[in-house]
Amino acid sequence: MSSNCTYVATLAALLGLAVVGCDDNAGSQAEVAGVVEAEEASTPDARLQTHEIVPSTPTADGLAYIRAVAAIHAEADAPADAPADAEGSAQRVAALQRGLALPVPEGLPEAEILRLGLATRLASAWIEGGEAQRAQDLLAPMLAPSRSVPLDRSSAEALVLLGDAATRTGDDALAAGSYGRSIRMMSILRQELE
Amino acid sequence: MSGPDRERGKADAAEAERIAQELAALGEEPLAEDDEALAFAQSLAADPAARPDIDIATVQTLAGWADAVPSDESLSELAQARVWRTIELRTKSAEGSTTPARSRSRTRPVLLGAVVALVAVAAGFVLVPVLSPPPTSQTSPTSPVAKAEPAVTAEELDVLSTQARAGLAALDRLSGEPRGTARVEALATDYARRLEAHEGTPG
Repeated sequence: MSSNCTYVATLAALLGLAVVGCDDNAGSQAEVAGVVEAEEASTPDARLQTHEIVPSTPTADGLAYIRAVAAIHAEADAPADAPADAEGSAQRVAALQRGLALPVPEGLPEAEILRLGLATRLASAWIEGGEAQRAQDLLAPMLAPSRSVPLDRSSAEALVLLGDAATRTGDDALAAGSYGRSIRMMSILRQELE
Repeated sequence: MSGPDRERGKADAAEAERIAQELAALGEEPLAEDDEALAFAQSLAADPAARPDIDIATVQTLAGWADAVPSDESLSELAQARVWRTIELRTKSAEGSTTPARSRSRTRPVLLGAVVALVAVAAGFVLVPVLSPPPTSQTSPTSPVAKAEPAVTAEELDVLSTQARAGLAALDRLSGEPRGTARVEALATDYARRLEAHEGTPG
């Protein structure tokens, strides 16, 4: 499978470059350079570096942190009979922000996944509330292509939300790159499960 | 055979001849008449909304690659149909924004790039597509930078979004793990169990 896929991906990449390079009606070199420059500036960064979260040696501080995050999630869950009004939404957002502000104990790699989960819910609430830029500003640094992200469902979901936020802010390159990275992440996760 | 049928038969024969010539030019083997990818390419070309200069052989070849790539459940016929639907939409939008004199030289590479990009994404890989500049990078209409053509449309982003969400749902079905609050609570329970075991370990 890998050889087939490598072949297709390589071929696709080469043909993708051809999109930039095979316009036989391009004018001066400066014009071509300008076009290429503009396209490079808007090219999505689809790099995906991942790392496995290896369960750490459990500590009391670690358990307290995880339980605190679980309590934050429970607080952010809207009760079935609660109206989805602005006040309730603001309370949920405030709870999730408190969760992200919790100090992370040392030696707890699982916290990375937990923080991504909190950030994803917070970003979702902001996007629903029309604050896509805020959601993008929150998730983009956590999921920067230059950084390694946990090989976990939470990363894949966060990337989808980042794509949603970028779509709304008009950052097509970030949106496409994020969706593409999430698809690739899920492909890796599925292969591990199968 | 009726008159219209005869005419259609002639048109089909001419089309088949054109396809054979395109394939020969690409160095590809002649196609069998029951080739599904060929049928798809022909149907795309037969669509009145499609570009008249659509490269059937290229589309056929790419469709063949898409079928040849080992796929999982997310690579269903429906998923592939979405990809091709996007290509159709892209073709329509390109038709309205490109002059006929430049259409063949400019739209074919872009169409080809879009086809390949989406096929690669459907295969679970990330291709670096050429995207439209964000609004902030637009300059005056006469500047060279402004001539960079938009290469990813809202429809294509919608396809990517749909694929990503479908992948998430498929992953959840496969893993069977809890989500959201339930997942964090399960993690806390498991962590507490491990802590208890660890503290009970001598030394």
